Amino acid sequence: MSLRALTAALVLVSCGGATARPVGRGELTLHGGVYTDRDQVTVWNPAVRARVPVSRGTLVTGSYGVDLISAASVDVVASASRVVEQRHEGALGARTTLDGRTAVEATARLSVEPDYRSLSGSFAWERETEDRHRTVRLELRGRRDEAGPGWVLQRPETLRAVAGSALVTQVVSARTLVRVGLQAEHLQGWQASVYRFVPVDGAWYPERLPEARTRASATVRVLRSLAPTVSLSGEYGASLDGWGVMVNAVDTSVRWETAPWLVLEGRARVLRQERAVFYQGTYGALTVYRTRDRLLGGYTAFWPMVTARVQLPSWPAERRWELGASASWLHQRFDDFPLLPVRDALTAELWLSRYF
Amino acid sequence: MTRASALLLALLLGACVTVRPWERERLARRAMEPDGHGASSGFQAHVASVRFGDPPAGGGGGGGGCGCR
Repeated sequence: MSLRALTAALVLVSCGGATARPVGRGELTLHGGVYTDRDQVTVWNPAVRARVPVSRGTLVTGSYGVDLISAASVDVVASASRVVEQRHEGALGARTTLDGRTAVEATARLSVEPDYRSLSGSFAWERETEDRHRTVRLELRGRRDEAGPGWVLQRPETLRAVAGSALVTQVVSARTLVRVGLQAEHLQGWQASVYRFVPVDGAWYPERLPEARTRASATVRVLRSLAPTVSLSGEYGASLDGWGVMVNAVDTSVRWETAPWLVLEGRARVLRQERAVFYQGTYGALTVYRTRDRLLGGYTAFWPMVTARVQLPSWPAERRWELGASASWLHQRFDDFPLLPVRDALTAELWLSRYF
Repeated sequence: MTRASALLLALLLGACVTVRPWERERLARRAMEPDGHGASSGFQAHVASVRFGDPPAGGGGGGGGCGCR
């Protein structure tokens, strides 16, 4: 290990005393993303994000972004119809340290589009152990959404959701980090599309879903340094909900610092979902619950991604600039949706960050 | 799955080696940062939310977007 690298490591991860450390650095980020798929949906997403330290122990965060949606998916409506709309999303939050090791964070977020509005809030408590081997984060979230009006709904309907999560990040060796997460969520209210109709024996009926949905999920991630400049990550996640939807997902990634100022990452996610108990490809008779939402059916997904991040000045100095780019291909194959059995999508991102 | 996670968590909390500050160079490398860039992670979480039905990251962004509602 070089003397320079050792010094940097000590500065970055040294076990300090109980004195309060800065809660975080300031940041200004401009981010642009685009999503396009073969269902004729294209979404442009410009966004800006800022983090401003207002004192040594308090950081205020804010973000704003807009989705510019050029078309609607044909599986949403009875036949393909062109829709151009916007979704605006803004968030405001604050994070403050209570002592050298404990921080609390609160965030409020608002998302508005013509037929859907969502207001949410979260509160998180985070503590790092004295030896800096373990970080525990507990979070509570609440959300109130309003859907409609639309073809199915004359008046807006509401959806309420509460969620809790626990996340533990643990140093298990000089080369390995492990992160374990648990989450539970309960949703109550309108969860169907405001546009979707379902064909039943030759007639069309509005989509109808249960008003309550409870789901639980767990993830385990291992991040391992293979060489000073190369790391490998593997994650397994599973979730189950009261509608019978079960998901198993595996995520792997490799990061390589090809130069002290450049990090390349390759990542792939494979996901398998089992259908909701009331989901059918075709309905021969009228049932209490009915849907044509492909995401409630069984499907398999493959999502590879590549990312490049230029970070200046070079490691081990503290970064002041970052220029990043990412691209991914999302492939989904649906078990029982003959109209559109496959969805292929591409995403691309570009961002520039200034840290201060 | 939940039982397995709880068992793993218990093992992690109780049986970890002590890593001294001077042994942490690998952990301090940029390749070992647990999370990606925040803005990029948010974008990918929104794509996952509308295309996989994942709970939206940070509890927000519950809006349909993309005609998905």
